[in-house]
Amino acid sequence: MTDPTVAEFCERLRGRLVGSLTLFCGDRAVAEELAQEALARAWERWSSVGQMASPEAWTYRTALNLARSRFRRRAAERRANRRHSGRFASSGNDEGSDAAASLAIRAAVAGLPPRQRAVIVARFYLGLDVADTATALDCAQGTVKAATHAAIQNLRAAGLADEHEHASEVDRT
Amino acid sequence: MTELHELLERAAGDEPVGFTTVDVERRVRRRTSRRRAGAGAAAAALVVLGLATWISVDRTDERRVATAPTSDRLEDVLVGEWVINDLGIVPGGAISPRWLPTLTFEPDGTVNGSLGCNTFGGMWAIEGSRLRLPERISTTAGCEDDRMAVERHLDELLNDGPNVTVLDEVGRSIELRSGERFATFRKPVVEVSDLVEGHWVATDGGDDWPFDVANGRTGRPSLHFSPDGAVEGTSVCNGFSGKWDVEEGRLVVREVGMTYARCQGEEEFWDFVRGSPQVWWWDISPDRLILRGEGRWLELTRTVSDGGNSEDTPAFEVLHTDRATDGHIGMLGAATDEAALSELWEALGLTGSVPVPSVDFERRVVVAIVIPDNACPPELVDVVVEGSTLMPVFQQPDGPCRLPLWPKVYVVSMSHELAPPGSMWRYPDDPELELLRHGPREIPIWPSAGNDLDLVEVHFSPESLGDDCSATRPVQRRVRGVDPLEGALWILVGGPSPHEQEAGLHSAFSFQTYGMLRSVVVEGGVAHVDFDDFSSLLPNASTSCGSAALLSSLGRTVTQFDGVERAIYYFEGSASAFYEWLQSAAPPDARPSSGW
Repeated sequence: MTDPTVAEFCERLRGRLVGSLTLFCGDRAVAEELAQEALARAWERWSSVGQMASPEAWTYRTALNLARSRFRRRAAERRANRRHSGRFASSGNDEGSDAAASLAIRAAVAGLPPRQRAVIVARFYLGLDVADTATALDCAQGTVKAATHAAIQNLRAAGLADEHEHASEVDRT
Repeated sequence: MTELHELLERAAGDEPVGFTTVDVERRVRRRTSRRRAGAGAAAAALVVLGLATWISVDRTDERRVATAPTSDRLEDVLVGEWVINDLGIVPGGAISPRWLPTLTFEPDGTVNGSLGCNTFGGMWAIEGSRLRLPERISTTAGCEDDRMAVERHLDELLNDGPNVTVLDEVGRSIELRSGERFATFRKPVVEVSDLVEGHWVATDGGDDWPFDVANGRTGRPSLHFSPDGAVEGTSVCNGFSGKWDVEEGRLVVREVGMTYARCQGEEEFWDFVRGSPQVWWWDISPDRLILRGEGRWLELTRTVSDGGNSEDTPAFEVLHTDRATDGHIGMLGAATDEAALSELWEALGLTGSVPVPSVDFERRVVVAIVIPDNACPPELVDVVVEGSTLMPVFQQPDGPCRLPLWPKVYVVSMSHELAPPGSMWRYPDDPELELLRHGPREIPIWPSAGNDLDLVEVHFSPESLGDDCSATRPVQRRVRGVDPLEGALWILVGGPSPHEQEAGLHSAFSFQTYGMLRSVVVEGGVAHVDFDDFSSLLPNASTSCGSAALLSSLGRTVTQFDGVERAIYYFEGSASAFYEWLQSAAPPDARPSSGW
């Protein structure tokens, strides 16, 4: 018999988790596979995960870990992403389309260093505050703020964030 | 400007998720049933007990059911060797199969292992459900940063007296946890059914044997396990037969009858085999084992194929799988005769460790490919024929990866009916296979004029540079299907192979930088070489000695080719970016950024 609590948890989180990983990895199919695996691990360990203050943060961290394992040492992956990025930027016919814009955003986020990427996704997509992001990423709150600052600067350079966002979001807790 | 979170919402996509909660539950169930089905005879009673309890309770309590051992039982479960499986996120750290942390709990209360860099020994005990390791004594060597980060994580975890949780019914997976810090370990168990196919040939044994166990010229020890419990084998000069089983992770060989020719060291080999050595999977390949016991170890590699010499041999057959060196990713190679196969074997780094298979080239051709490192490398299972083009079919293994994390080489043989003369091998247009295309994407399976391997030299630094930071040593590599200059740079940017590192070669380049060559254009004797910006990955290369070593390696590799007198380097089209990183000025004839 399925525990309704864990099933409900999976149902509630799966869409958000796939979205997070899509942003983190830049690839929806990969994101779905990683999200499913992370949720399966949470399911298997629900007796302890379910008792945690934030099962979502645990699952997100597990998913990030899976993603990092998958792409560990894959410098070549960056190259592939950059090629995609270049292709999107130069495909004049599609520049105005939502799909091209979405892919360009994904590519820009995927081009961030891993910690910055994880922080941006956690804070601006998952909506976690600084403290919860620090918990999810197992780092200090100051690290989260610094990474947020750097990530927004990088995204701003890519035309995806503005000064207003920078000033208002870095210190938001 | 649109708020960032709105942009991210849009970029994340709102299409329906391709799996449901039911799919997640199925995945969990599959895994559970697989573990249960995999239980060995020695664990049968435990399985029955666990399964009976499992059936009677809510399934989501399964872990708790399996993890409420008495102190005595927990101690029993822990005895044996454990290999790291998961660490969660360790800042700055990542596990590498080259140095997997291990823990070995001996029944006499001693423990030893490696936490990443250093080895340790000491005593162990269970207090309630907590693991205590008093009197732990460790070596104090230093290693790379990522190894040290993993070691610190595990060291602090063990110092905390972590809670031990058994994660499955058969006691092959445990979690050590203290607060948010945790590590999971698994027992690398081999099942009886894993051994019955093929012949197992000794391919390595270190320096612990009085004879060269992997020397093909004198004959290698080999073992063949039959499903009916019979085992046959040879050593250096004797044959034997007997009964076999796998019991609690050990190979048990009984009732051995054998010939008695005199060969130095034979008796030590037989003592080892009859001493119930531990049997482990090893490396990425399910075709490689390690036997360990009596202070010695022996690596065995499975050879399955008859080389296509039988009418019954399938049209497509995997001849051999192995781990690959980092520099081979994307490699495609083909052989249509014995000489070419030997050459291919050497290019793959298998010569001397794995026998070259005997292939009936009257009926078969051989293709080798290397797929990249991946958390779960896909399996090459078949080829699809479209006209004269063959496209590989990859399939993710069902369930968790058994031996992940290594670049993997496949050597396959195909019948002439499947791959007739003129056939091409081509990767399908699948973004998931993008990484494979860093080598040639398409090659003729039947080599033709102009498609021979090109011999190139790649310059790396000797490990000890002395006073000459620009000293280099060339190594010879073969490239096929690409411009030799580009191929040589591809290889250089991937860094020296493990074999070359063992031979004392060094480079700032490594797998981290593999694939970061963007383009090479030669004009008027000048090679314009454009890279992805790898400056953050090579922190020491901008020192005066580091930059001299880097530039000399690059320069000598590039200028070996006729018509290339010197090179100018770029980061993503910008020479100033590259040279500013090395704290020097770009050559005046460098292309402007807009010139690309």
